[in-house]
Amino acid sequence: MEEGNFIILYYPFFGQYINCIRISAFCLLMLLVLIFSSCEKVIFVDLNNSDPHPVVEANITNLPGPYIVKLTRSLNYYDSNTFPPITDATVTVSDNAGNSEIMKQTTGGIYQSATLTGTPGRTYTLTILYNGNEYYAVSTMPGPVPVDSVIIEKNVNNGFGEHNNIEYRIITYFKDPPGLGNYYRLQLTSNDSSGIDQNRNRLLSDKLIDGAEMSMSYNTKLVPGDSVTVKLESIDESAFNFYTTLEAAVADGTSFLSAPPANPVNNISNNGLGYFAAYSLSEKHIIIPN
Amino acid sequence: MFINMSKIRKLIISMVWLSYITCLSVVAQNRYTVSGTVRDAGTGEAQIGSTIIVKELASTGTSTNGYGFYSLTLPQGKYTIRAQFIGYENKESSIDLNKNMKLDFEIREKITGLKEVEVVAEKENKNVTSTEVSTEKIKIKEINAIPVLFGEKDILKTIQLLPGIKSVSEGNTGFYVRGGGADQNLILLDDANVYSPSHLLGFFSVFNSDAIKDVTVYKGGIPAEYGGRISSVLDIKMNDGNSRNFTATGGIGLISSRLTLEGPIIKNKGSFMISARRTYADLFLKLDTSKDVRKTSIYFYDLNLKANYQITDKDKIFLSGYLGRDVLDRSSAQNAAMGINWGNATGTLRWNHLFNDRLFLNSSLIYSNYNYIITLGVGDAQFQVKSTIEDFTLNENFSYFINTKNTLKFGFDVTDHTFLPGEVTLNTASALPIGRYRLAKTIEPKYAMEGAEYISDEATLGDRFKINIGLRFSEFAAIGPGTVYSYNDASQITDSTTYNKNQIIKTYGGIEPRFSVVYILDETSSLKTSYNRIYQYLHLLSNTTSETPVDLWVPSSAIIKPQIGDQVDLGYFKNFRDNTYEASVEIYYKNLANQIEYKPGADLRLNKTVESQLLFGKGWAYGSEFYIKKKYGRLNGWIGYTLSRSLRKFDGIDNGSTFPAKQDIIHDISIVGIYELNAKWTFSASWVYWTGNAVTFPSGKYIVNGQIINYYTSRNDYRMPPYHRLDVGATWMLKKTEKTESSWNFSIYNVYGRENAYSINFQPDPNDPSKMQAVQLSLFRWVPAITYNFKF
Repeated sequence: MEEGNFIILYYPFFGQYINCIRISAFCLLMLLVLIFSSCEKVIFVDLNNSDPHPVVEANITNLPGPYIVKLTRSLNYYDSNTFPPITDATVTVSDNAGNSEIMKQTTGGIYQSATLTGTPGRTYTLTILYNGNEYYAVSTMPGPVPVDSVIIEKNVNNGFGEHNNIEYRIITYFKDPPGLGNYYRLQLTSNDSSGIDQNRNRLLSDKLIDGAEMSMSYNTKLVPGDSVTVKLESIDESAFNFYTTLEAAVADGTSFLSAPPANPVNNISNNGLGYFAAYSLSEKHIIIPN
Repeated sequence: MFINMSKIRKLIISMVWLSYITCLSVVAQNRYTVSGTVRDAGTGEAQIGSTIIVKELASTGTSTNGYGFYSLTLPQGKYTIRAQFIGYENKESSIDLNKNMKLDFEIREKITGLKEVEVVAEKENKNVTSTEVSTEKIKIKEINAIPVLFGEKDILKTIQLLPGIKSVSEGNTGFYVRGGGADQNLILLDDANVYSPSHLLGFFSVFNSDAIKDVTVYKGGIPAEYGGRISSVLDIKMNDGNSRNFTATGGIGLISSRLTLEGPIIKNKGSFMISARRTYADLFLKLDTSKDVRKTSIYFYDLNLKANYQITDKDKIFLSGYLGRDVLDRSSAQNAAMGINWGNATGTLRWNHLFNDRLFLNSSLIYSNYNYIITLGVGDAQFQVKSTIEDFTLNENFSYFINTKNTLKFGFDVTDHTFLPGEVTLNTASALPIGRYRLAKTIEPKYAMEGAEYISDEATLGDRFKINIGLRFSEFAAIGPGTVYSYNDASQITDSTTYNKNQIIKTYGGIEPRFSVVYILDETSSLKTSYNRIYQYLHLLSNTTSETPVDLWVPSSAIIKPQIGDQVDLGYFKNFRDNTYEASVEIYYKNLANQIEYKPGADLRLNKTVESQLLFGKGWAYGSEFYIKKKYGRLNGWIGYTLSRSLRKFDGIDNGSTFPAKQDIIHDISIVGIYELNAKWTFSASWVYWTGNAVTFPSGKYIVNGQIINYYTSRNDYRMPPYHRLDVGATWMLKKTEKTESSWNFSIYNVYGRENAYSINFQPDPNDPSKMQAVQLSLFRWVPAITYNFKF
């Protein structure tokens, strides 16, 4: 059905468009692997050491504080996965309304604000003094976008469930404000953490469709009675770029059709890793019905 | 049309005048022309590249062009003219040249019985004396015995056994010539551009060898008639079809079967060829217990068609076409569908015309299309994304055989390109509830015109020098309708301009000098050098680690400048033992301007602002290639070794420091041997070794939001493990006569089961989450194959 130059597109599938290519290719690869002797084995690759860099996880939201900045250090690849906290840094957050605060370390590497109030529209600057180096990051908090409705669909997976398990698709609806430059990240939390893939972000920008009713869907393995919180984050462009480019670097066994490896694009200066995001949050609670 | 037609007309007219003037001057010296066609006596196929020798005049001769035609202009006199071609019996004819005359040859293929093999009267030294540098001609018949994966003879696999031509991963048909990119190879099938030369994600090429007659690869010294890709030319000619008899050729193999039918339309006047190939590995899926698997299809097919007809003595028309497709489809019990299919379609209508016995015209109308279609949906509600590139080309090539010392080639071509990067369609929109519709825009089509005019002369200067000098002028225009965006450094749109239909958005053009020179040291050795400059106006964008069918072809634009390739090379060619052995050493340096990379995490699919995702930089490659080939005898084959580098430099990558390109493989060795034990058995083996290609591995790690993230220090700073593999094959000829043939082919791929790395993944150890590990995936250990081939 065409409307002038526009074509109507079922958006929830749209996110699976790229996956389709990967899955098809993966099927093919699996076929070849099955038919013709192939093998997977752990090998030792002689990797270089890398200089340690501070890793930032910092969020400021429109909800009341305290806000937390978490600092750790990067490691060499074959080190044990115990990421050391940075305990001797000076962490300052300021906004463009003249407020500034030095955050206090509560436990190792966790720095907490006391007086700061996250306000949509303000631009926040994070400054970290560590080891004689200064690291900056800037993020502007977009206004919150309310969740209009959340719909639960039963057994409406895309048909490729392995054993035809009953699955719940949770579709979140909201209205994109007019004007380009809105970015969204959707997260689900639940009392039943195994029902949700915690590492999966849903990201959306209004680059293709501005000012429209939008939806993001999330397939879960939740069961009736589980309570779910849908968190719709309005994030700024730098956070959006960070999350979208994170995939290429996540250590989860990438496929041969993955994007080539690259560090995520982030907003921390001086080769600092991680991100600083000021975002607004809208939430909705639901319970999976029987 | 944007091409300045009057300019072309002037060029053509001046060339024709030039031709006449030279004609007249030549006639005044009592010189006459003998011309004709060389054909295979058995099939009537025109023989490309047959040598024509004038026995009385040492160092005078020529070879047949792509249509089997030759022309020699000599002083009046009595001559013996000989046509010869490797694997064929020589044929001689005595003539009394006192007027312009026509002399056709029919040469007969040697039936290789052992007794006859060694009696080769004259061995060729064309590799030493021709101006072709860095060029390899391959007859499909010569590659039959080389063992390959699944026993599928594959021309792209075979050329990767030559020095300077590389593949970077297992079974990948994407190839890299002298450090250039996979999109920098001009791949022509009967003059039509083939945009995606591979099947099944690169494990097979689209060229069904039963339908192919002849392949020429140019790694350097690219003649002026070719343009548009900066690293190499792969010129593939399909069989014309047997004009004498009806024959059927075919093969039944493990994963696919082939059948070719050919025969005369009117005996000796016209013939046809139709060839089909399909894989059937997916039939095994039907045996699976899962319904989902049973409903999966994975296959590809190829269909080649060709017909020709000699209208008059001086006019011949050809019609050829190719259609090939890959299909991957998954349907499920819940009626959900997910599929992708892709393929090329080409068509060529060609007219060969002899204006006189020295002026030959090859005129072609060419169509080329590549598309992929992705389907997704449940039940009736399905949507499709289709991406297409479509070309219409007019190609005019004149060959003017001025005299034995000069052959002039000139002509022009014009191509109309249409790019449809993403057409989104819903087949039954009504099946979806309205609340879930979303509006998305089909990505705007792009239009472009590309054209070129060229002239070249192959000249013999004295006894020792031959030179091929040419000039090509190429032009490109991006044309409307269309919207052009400008971007700031953060990839945000700052401005947009809308262009109307046929309005010129941006033009590029340039002069492309070409030359190659051979200095003949003696009968068996020569020095050659060449230079070429080429502009490339179309670019392939890929943001995955391997080339995929969904990579995007984009035209040059206000933001994307044409890639420019300059290459110089120098070679020493030497034949030994009465031309039984050919050896060469070549060195080259190649400069690549306006190279393209994507920004990290770039989204190239369904993105109207794809140009904002790109980075531009430069590249250079250099290397030396050593090659020794034994052409005659019961044992033949070759050894090739390449020592080379390919480097890139981009402002936006690693702060502008130099990094190796993915295809930067430093050492590359291939050894191919074919041994004919007797008339029944032929054995073959090939061994390849190359040092790993450049890859990016993590040098560190960190944690964000509970996820472990790999930390990369610089682009392509690691190497894959070295790759090596031995393949062996045997052909058991049951019967071979002039008309019928039947044989079994056996092969084992990767005989010693080397676990070559297909990919290496870095991930947490599932048994010990406190540790990280590297996991190597290897494919294809000991793949046996058996194929039955027949001809009757």
